Amino acid sequence: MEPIKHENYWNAVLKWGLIFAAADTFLTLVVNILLIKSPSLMALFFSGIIVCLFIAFGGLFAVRQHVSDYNLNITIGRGALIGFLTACIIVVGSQVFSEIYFLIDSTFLQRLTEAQIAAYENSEFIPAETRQAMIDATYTQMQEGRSFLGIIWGMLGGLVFTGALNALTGMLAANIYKK
Amino acid sequence: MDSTNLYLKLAVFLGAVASVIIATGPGLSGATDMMDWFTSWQRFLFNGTCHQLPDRSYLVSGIPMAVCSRCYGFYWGLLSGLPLILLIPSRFHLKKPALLFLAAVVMFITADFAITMAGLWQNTLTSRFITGMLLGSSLYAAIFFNR
Repeated sequence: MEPIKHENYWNAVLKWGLIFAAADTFLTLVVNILLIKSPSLMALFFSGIIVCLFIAFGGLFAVRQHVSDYNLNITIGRGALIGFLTACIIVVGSQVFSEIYFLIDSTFLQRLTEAQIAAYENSEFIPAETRQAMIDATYTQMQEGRSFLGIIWGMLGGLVFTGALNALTGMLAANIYKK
Repeated sequence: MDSTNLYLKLAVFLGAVASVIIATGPGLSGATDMMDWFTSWQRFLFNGTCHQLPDRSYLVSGIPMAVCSRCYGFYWGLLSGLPLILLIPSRFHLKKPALLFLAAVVMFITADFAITMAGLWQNTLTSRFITGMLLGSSLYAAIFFNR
């Protein structure tokens, strides 16, 4: 059997990781600005769906580019690795881009938290007891503020399933683009 | 069977088992308070990948799971992928039909979502669970069917 060559995949990982990080930040900001303007549970609902559906495809695009750059077949395991690393870049990049925006618009987070609380208050779908628990927890988080450790934990938490989803789409792409 | 692929199949299966257990949420460990649900680590872990709306989630011990019913079905679908792949004879592990089936399921879910948003049909927890499960198992097949 002919040995499989392993070319450098960082070009594809960095390119698609940063593209998806920028797009994710932009989409999340747009949805959050819409939420601030009109606090509703639907905006929260859509932001979740956009994030879930959209960023899972970073791994797929990175593998597609890697395969076409070097005109080679890659193993499913390598596809998973490229997908996971792309997710790492997406999560870190998205956090960095968001922090830059928070520096520019220093009252954004406070307005967003207030809008979230208003969205919970306006919601008819959530039972009253649940609604109050959500409002209390959001209010407590706002009062405690954001710490560096909290941001790191948030990124690690986000990476677990974002990484897993991108590893899956990376494996899928390795199978799809196999010649 | 290729040993690397076998390890990957097992890894995805074990990941799916862990996901199902975590996604069941704090109700699994006896929590019954909504505040426990909202501040739970299980909910925090799935925060970036699911909207986690309580009215679109199954209840365990009276509190919602950490993910919506569609995502819960997706993880069950991934989990059922390995038993399915072992049950189906390898000569039927065809890549093209598996990819087409995955595309059909994605289109079906998109239509289900769009028709519900248009107010023409109201999907249920069960219908969302089933479509999620179809998505998970068809994704598993699309990844590992390579003939």
